[in-house]
Amino acid sequence: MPPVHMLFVGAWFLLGTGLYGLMIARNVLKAVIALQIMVKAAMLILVVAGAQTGQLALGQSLGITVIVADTMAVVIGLAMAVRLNASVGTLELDDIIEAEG
Amino acid sequence: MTWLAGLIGLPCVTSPLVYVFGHRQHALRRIHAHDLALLMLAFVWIALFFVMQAFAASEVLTVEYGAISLRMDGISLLMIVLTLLLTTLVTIFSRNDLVGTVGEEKFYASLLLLLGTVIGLVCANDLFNMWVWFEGMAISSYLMVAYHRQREDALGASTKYFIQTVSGSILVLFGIALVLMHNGTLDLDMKAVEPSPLLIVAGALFVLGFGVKLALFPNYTWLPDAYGEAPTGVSALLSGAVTMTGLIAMMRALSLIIWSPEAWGGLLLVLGMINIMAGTILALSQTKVKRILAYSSIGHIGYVVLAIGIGISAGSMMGLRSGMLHLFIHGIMKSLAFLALGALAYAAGCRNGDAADFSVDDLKGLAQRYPGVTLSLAAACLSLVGIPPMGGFVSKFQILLAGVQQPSVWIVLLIVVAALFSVVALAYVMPIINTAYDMQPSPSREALPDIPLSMRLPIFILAIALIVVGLWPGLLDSIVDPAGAALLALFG
Repeated sequence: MPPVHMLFVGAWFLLGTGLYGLMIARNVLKAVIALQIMVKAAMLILVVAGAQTGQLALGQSLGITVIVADTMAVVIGLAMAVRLNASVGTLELDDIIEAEG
Repeated sequence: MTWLAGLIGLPCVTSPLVYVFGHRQHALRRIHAHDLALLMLAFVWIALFFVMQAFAASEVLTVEYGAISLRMDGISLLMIVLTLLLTTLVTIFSRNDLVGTVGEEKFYASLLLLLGTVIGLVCANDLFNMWVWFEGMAISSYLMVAYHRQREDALGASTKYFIQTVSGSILVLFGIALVLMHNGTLDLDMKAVEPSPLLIVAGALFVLGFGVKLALFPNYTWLPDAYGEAPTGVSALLSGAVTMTGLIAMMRALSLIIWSPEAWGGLLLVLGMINIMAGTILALSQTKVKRILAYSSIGHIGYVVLAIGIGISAGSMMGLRSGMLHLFIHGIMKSLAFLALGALAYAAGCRNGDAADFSVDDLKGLAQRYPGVTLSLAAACLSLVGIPPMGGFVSKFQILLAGVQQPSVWIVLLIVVAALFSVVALAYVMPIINTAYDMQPSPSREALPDIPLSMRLPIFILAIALIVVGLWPGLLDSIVDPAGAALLALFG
């Protein structure tokens, strides 16, 4: 199998890992980490797509843009986690849902 | 087109200005963030005026910066007019609703950023460019949903919204990568010549990913929490305009996917129908008014998707046009309902996001004290069901008409069920109206303060607009017809 195809399969595997993590995570921080794994998979597949169509530079620039957008999103997610921890006193989703009633 | 560049850039550039110069502690602060935001919106309206003049002459406007190309067609125009109208009214409304809360300047800055990203998103002519605007739009909405950050429920709702939206946008990225792999380009004008399984997978990812923002089955669970907990003005804006941009993005992305129109149309028909049923049935069991309105939004998204499904599967201009008309009128009536409810809750003493807990019983007898605003709320509610002469009747009726004209028995059957659910919607709307018009004299209601003019003004503008549109639906032809035509061209 050529390396590009291996990376293609690897990206889907990484996405699956992230999705599985998101489904079983019972903690806000762990959910954010699972989302991060999924974003890395998306960057990888964008670069693979660029490489396969002979436009590696395009794929890489898309990947870099994703890093920027994703960093903004994750900062906001973590800020909300800090706030949740300060007001509810926990990041466990079960306890948060219970606190909300 | 410099005016189009101005229209897109202005809100994004002025958003940090509002944040910096509207800040409470800023040494140069001479003006309230709210007034500054209104001033900026006035400039955006001027830009829109010139853009509309140019648009009337040439049908499609484009602007290019190096590799980035932006293109404005009929769909963009419809969404820009709706979003700008609602943003302006919500800005006026929020002055009294949010006065004295922490971080007002951030609120108005995010509102402008949201407007700018929506305008950019509907004008993007490149799949990846569209995704970047989409992500920017999502970021400003998380901030606004979590605005009342002392409320645990608001933080929880925003976290839920965040996790679902980010996972949706990652699925969209995967779809984009697959399109790039097959087409070799992400330009929305360059369609592939032959179908491929890769593209079908990409299409499924687009439906799932953009479906989160659009609150399409099965990804609508964030919506009631987010709309319930957001400041009332934000709920109005999100439900009226921002959620629907998910639909626009989805249609643009799906236009790249070569597959049979019947298949996409059929998928949209089924998803729309499930949304109608889920939204209507779940709304019945709610007691908090904001949540009732939120669930009703899920149902109305279903009607728009249903209409577009009819239009695509049969190539019927009437279906697409009625979907766009319902999108516009739903924006007016749902934001009217949220704003009128927010004003009543404000008058009854809800501050700092307590309007989220305002239940149907709390409305009791408010019609006596506030006849005008309660009448507007009732008009919006009746319009949501589709009672003439409100605007909601016109658009729902056109959707049903477009549906029954189709030869397919299945579509006609779906339309009959959709019409029946429209009647079921009466069951969640009537308690609101009945309780508000409870005519038993209650002295405690008489002592309530007046609703400030800054809240009444946007409500009355929307209420008049709703009835005028209901009586003369032809007034909207100039923006709805190009939108329908542009949508038809996407799938032509």
